[in-house]
Amino acid sequence: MKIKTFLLLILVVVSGITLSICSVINLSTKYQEYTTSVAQEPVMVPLLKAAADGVYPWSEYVAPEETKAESSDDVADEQSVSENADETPAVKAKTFTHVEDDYFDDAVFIGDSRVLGLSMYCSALDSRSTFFAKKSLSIYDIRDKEWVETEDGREITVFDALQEVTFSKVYMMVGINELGRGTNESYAEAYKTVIDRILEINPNTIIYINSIMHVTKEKSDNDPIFNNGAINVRNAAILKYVDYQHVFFLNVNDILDDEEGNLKAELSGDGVHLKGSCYEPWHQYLLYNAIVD
Amino acid sequence: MTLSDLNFIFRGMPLFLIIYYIVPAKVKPWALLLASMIFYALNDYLLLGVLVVFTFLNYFLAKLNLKEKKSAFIIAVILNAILLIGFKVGGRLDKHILLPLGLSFYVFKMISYQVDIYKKKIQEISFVNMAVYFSMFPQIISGPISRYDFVTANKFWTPPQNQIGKKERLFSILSEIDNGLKLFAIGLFMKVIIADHLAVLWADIKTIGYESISTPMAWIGAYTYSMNLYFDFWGYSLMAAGVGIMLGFPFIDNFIQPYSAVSVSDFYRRWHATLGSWFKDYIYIPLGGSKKGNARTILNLFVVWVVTGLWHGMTLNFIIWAMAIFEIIVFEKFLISKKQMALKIIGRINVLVLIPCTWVVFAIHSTRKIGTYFLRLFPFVDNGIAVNRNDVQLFIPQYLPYLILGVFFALPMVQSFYKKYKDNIFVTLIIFVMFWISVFSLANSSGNPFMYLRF
Repeated sequence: MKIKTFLLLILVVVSGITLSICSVINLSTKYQEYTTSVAQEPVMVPLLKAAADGVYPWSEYVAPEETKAESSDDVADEQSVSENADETPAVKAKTFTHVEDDYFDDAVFIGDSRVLGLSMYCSALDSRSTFFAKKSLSIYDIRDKEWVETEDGREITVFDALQEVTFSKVYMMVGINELGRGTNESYAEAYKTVIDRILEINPNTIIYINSIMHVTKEKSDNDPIFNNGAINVRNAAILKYVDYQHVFFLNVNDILDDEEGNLKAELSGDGVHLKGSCYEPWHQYLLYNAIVD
Repeated sequence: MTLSDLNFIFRGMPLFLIIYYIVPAKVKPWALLLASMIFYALNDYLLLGVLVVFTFLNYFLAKLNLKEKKSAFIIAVILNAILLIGFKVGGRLDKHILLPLGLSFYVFKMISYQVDIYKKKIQEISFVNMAVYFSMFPQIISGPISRYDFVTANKFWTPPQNQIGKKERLFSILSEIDNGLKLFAIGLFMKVIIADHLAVLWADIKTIGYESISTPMAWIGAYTYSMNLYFDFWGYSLMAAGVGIMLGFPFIDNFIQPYSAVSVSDFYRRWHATLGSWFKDYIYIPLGGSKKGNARTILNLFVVWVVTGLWHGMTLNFIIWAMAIFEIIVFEKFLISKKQMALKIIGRINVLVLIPCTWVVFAIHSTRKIGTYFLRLFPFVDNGIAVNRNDVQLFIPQYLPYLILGVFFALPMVQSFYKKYKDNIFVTLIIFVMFWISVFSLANSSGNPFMYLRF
């Protein structure tokens, strides 16, 4: 009997045990955030999940920093927001008006798969505007990562990309991927950072925050994470940054929802995205809700 | 818990294998029965009772059936059929009625068991063997639909012969486990890496809406779904066969290179072969098969395909699907079979072009949407709304590796190569890598393919 006839069994057993030991050793340190419960999953699973994030058994472990300093920043932020709010009545709020498609000639759209869908299935916008959109994009990616592909194949941050195009309107829609990740505060904070950076690059730009689009009733009722209750909370969390001068909020759900406040079932094939043929209402909504100086 | 659950792979299965091989040969069937009951209860404890009650019922009727009581045989077949039809129709009429896990599979085994007793193919009734046959965990969720002799062929259920040494026996067990593990790992890879990723592409097409896909995208979609279904089912069958081999059962070939078939009739002898042969042995041949003239043959084929359609699901699309297959088979059998050359060419075209189209009907439950999809496949009338002509370039590149893997594994020579070189060290190493790639993917998707589907 040759060892060859049960080589795979030996390899699988040895590698399985080795990975499990590596995982257990690091369970309380670098794999802490990848662990759910040892009762629910085999012990090597945290190691595999961490590896997908680029954290390997041999990676150096950095203990998370204390978050005290950050929370005091929060307070300061909120104060400055409320100060802003106090000042708002002194400046006249700009109001929405109807425009034609050429309005979008110098517009940039930034967002996740829903914006990607808009670029693919709304040729009126795709032919005029610049789209920086990517599946699974989050506000944290926009803030931190190099993800916009340049023509020569490099990846740069959206802020670097915005330096290279002329734009006076920025439309954003993200937020669905962030559900179940981070907190309302961390989400809003990241949004604020992004808004500030864009205004820094072009102080005269108009930023349109598109509300996170709802999901259908069927999806919402059956999903503990991606549901409309959670979406409404996240939408509300960024309203405080709307100043009616540079930053506006477009509640696209107004035209896409049914009477119960869920995305109309007939507009979506999977409960989350608009069907290719159903982007027009969103386009029309943008045409009727534009700011002209 | 399914066979592709990490808790099954790394906990349930190893633990069970150790217990199974420690206990004496006589106890092994009981150990498997107990494990199968636990496996069933973990998945569907509410309706475990249905399986248990029908196991006992079949046992008593089988005893009478063995004593040549024809009425017992007829009652057994009717009761089993009523169980299946009752739940299927009930579930269709009232969505609160849940279908017991694996019902379609274990009822078919129960009917097969009774018929085989009636035909004297089974001459001895053992409760534990029968109960294991109905409920064994590798086959309970989605087959293969083995025959009873599969159970009695287990090579570790008889006490070891004296002339075989302990060491030799241990090696033979380890070698069987290794053989089974290889099939399991390949099946897991097919299911988790190929099928589950292609399922996401098929879902993307649904997301866009069939009215908005280009014609090339519609065709890629038809092949994507065909491969998704093939590797999901073939992969699962290989995993089930692999677990079976680990326990000492013979190999069951449920997918015999169907896409290398020479005609649609041939395709369905190779595709889900255990189901096809069940229909042949227990419906088609008892009805007279092809021996009672052309009209009867056509009628018999019609009956088999109506039942096949209904077995797959109680919605109209499954009937349309089954009728399409029935028509193609009749066309092949009666119109072109006499011209060898024509059959050779048209038969292959039927397999490689028409079969993927029939899977579209199988996949889409609404007849209106099937109509929309077919007009995109064959754009005689332009029904497109907001079609993006570049959708293939936009969607396909990210799924290309999985499409290529799918085509590769569908090639007949890959299977022949495996059979020839399965004990080669390099082949073993490749399977080892495939196993860990699948496990890695499972760990990061929590077993739900749509976890890859971020928005």
